[in-house]
Amino acid sequence: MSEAAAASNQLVSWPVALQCARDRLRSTPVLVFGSLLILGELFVGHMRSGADIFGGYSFSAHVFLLGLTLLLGSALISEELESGHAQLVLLRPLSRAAFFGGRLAGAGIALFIIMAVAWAVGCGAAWSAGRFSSDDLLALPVGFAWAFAWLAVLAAISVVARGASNTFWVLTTVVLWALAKFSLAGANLIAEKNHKWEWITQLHRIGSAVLPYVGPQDPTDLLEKMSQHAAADYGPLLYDLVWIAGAWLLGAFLLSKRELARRRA
Amino acid sequence: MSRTHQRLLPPALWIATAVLLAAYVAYRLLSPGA
Repeated sequence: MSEAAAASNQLVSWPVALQCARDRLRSTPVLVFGSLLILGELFVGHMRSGADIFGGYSFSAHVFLLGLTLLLGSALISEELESGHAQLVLLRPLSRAAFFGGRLAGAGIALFIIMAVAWAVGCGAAWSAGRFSSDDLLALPVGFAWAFAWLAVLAAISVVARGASNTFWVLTTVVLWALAKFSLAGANLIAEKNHKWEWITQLHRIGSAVLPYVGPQDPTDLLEKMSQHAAADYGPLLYDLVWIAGAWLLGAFLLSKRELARRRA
Repeated sequence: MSRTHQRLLPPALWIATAVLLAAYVAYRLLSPGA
């Protein structure tokens, strides 16, 4: 294979990734949310299992991990496109896909570093409470796959959304999703109690079947099942890996299309 | 290969997406009780 062909098959530009990781880790909001996530892990010792390190019953992990992921993915590609930095970097023998992969991997490295510290603190808290188990070690890869899937979605949207509006779109979708889920469940409860409005029950059934597939799924319950020696469901984890690859593919595709259109203009 | 004719996407991305999707569907179909 020629060198040029090898370059165009490259998935990640590591110089771009390391630069991006450095920049993101120096951002104050990222450090604030990262610190809050890490502090929240101190309470994991009083919870159920490794599932609560990055999800489950840990409210702080849910809030701060979501916040951290949104901050790391905010304007991930758009800030480079709008400042003209991306066009400058792409003058080098570097494919657009490798540039996209580099930015995504860079934000992923920053996310992984913060999550690894949080996970170590969480395991330490569980240890000192006397209920650390080797299953807790899996909390990091499982939790990271979940958060990285969201990061990949943010990166893909950032190719076409201005500035930090990718964060707004993802957050709005999450809020609407939760609203749809809970209002359907509530309406269904009322309808069933009154034995009428069958269409609400139908709607609830359709919603329950479709809604879990809109976006990456929470895989952390797998760790809770492992701690109970029950049959663990690897489905959500696999589903998140599909989202990582799919969003990466879509993002790289959109960036290629966008850059080609800009050159023709 | 000139830069304007670079491949739109690395094949590895297509392959990874297809393989993972197939793995997920297979898991859902084959795992009991899921």
